[in-house]
Amino acid sequence: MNAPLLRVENLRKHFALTKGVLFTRTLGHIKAVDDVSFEIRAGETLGLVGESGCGKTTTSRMILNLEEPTEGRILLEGEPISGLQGEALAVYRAKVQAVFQDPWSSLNPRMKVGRTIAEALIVNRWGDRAKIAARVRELLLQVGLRPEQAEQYPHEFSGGQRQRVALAAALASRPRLIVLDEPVSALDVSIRAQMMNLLKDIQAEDGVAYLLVAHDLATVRHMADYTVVMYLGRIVEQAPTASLFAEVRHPYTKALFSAVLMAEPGRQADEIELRGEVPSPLDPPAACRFHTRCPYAMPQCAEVEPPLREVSRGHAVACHLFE
Amino acid sequence: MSETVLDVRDLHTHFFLRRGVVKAVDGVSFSLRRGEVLGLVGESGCGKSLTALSLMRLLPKGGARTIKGEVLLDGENILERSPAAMREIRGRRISMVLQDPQTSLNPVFSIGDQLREALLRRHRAPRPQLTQESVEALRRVEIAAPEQRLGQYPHQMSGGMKQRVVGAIAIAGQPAVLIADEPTTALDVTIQLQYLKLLKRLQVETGMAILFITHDFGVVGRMCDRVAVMYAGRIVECGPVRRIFEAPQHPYTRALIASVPKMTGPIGRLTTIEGQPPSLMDLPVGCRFASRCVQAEPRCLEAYPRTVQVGREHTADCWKVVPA
Repeated sequence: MNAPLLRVENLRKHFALTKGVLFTRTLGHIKAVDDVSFEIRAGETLGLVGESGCGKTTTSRMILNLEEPTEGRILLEGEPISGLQGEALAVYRAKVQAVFQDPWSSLNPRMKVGRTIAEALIVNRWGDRAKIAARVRELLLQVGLRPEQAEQYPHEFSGGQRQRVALAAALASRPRLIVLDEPVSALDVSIRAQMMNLLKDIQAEDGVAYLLVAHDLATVRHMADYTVVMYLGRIVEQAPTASLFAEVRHPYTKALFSAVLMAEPGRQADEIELRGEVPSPLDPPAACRFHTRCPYAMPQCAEVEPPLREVSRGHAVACHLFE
Repeated sequence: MSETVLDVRDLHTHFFLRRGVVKAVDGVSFSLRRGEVLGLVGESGCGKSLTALSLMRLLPKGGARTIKGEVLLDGENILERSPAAMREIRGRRISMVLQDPQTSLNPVFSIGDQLREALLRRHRAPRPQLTQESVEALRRVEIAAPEQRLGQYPHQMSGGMKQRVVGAIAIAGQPAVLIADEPTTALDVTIQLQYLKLLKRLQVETGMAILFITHDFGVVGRMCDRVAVMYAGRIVECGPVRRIFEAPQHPYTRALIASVPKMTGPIGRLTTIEGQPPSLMDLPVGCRFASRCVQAEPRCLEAYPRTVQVGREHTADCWKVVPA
């Protein structure tokens, strides 16, 4: 096994919730991410799944160095990323790129898309004008657009094409890792499949790793080699994707799986319907955070925090049922 | 039981813009039976939401007009009713739930005020009675501690809970038809399942018919009895859910179902539909899917196919399908 490209160690992010402007009081802390560790190997895809507020976006923002961890560290190729400045930070940003759900947010409406794609290359003084233009052409072809479309503005593209432009811009600096935050959920079904195929092709060609933040399990199944399931800031289950889909262990993961509506009527498997909603991350339940909604909760679940424990090769679960 | 409650015939709603006419809904026909859930599926821009707004007669400002067709609600063409009469019809006979609950609720009125207002449309009653009925309405949509919720405002509730309140308001007038336009798209998956189960239960209890608009075949499989697939302003295939999933006849439906990533089976390259839908300002004379269809032949480009009966209650607009 090759060394990990990215390591996340005991990552925590707590946001202080404050009141007042002049005399600020801290009312409490939102533990958005609480002790999260995982690895991404070069050329592989890690899927990060969970519902709103589970901390998946905060985790990806820390990896993008847009958010400073409260505790814990992130290492890229063995080097910690905290405190990176100047040249080192620019190098990091070239190596770790992102594509977000809404391509509008990543594209400047007044800039020709060719210029947007070239931006990273210009900033990093990657080469002269002709060399950059050649690279932009190459990138457009790689994402399935025509080179002459470099002269068009974002509004002239469809949603799926805009997402391709955002991907081309992310690929420009030849990153080792791209954070894909819900990259296909804003796209139509038929376009979504095109984008997923494209992402896999690019990975096969360039060996780039992906951190795929998604809520759709079928998308994760098709894209990810390894899957991490989060609930209220904690990892509840992590496993090689094939192993996870073969046998789901954690009751929360089971609930997530049974909430997936299969596009096959009558194929609805044993269903776990969760009562109530996700508790507030400001005041999460003690011990196992899922015990308030768990159909299998036992007395100890409210008292002792279950550690993440390996139940089979590479498959770890944080649940007292598996002790 | 197979009594038709809503019958839509040859509906045309176009946008008349300075640069041309956008034929967003261009010849839509379907019927909805009492107590039935009909899914209306399609990709963005196919006209499914505008069809719903045409039925409610709540067209967006800026040149949209229904120029042709009939919308028969219990046999009465509501397109011919006056705006005042239409206000009486909305909420009481036909009602709607939208994707984003935030846009349906007024942020400056309490939940109780908004529910009482909706209930007042059903009957005039003294305030304490309306309050009591509001509590009941919230209880029906499974909101815990409804008495306390009445005094709260929308921002104090989660997305799933707001969508339940919207549902409670929509069915307060006991409509015969509920139009649900992507009501769970903004919700998390576990909350989506709760909401769909609730909607199904309410539908069974009240016997209302639901027109369920969605782009998600999973939701269709879970909720609907029949499904109509829309493409570029028209319904291209309509049939019982099982038939559409197991033996889709129209090439578009087939490609659409094949392109959805599955939870089981082999993981390979996903099937895609190459190209893009035609411009609604410049629709082809032939089949609208022909330019993207792998089976297209010359006649597909020359004339729009007739609607073919391909099975029991199952129709498809395609030159290549075999009549039952």
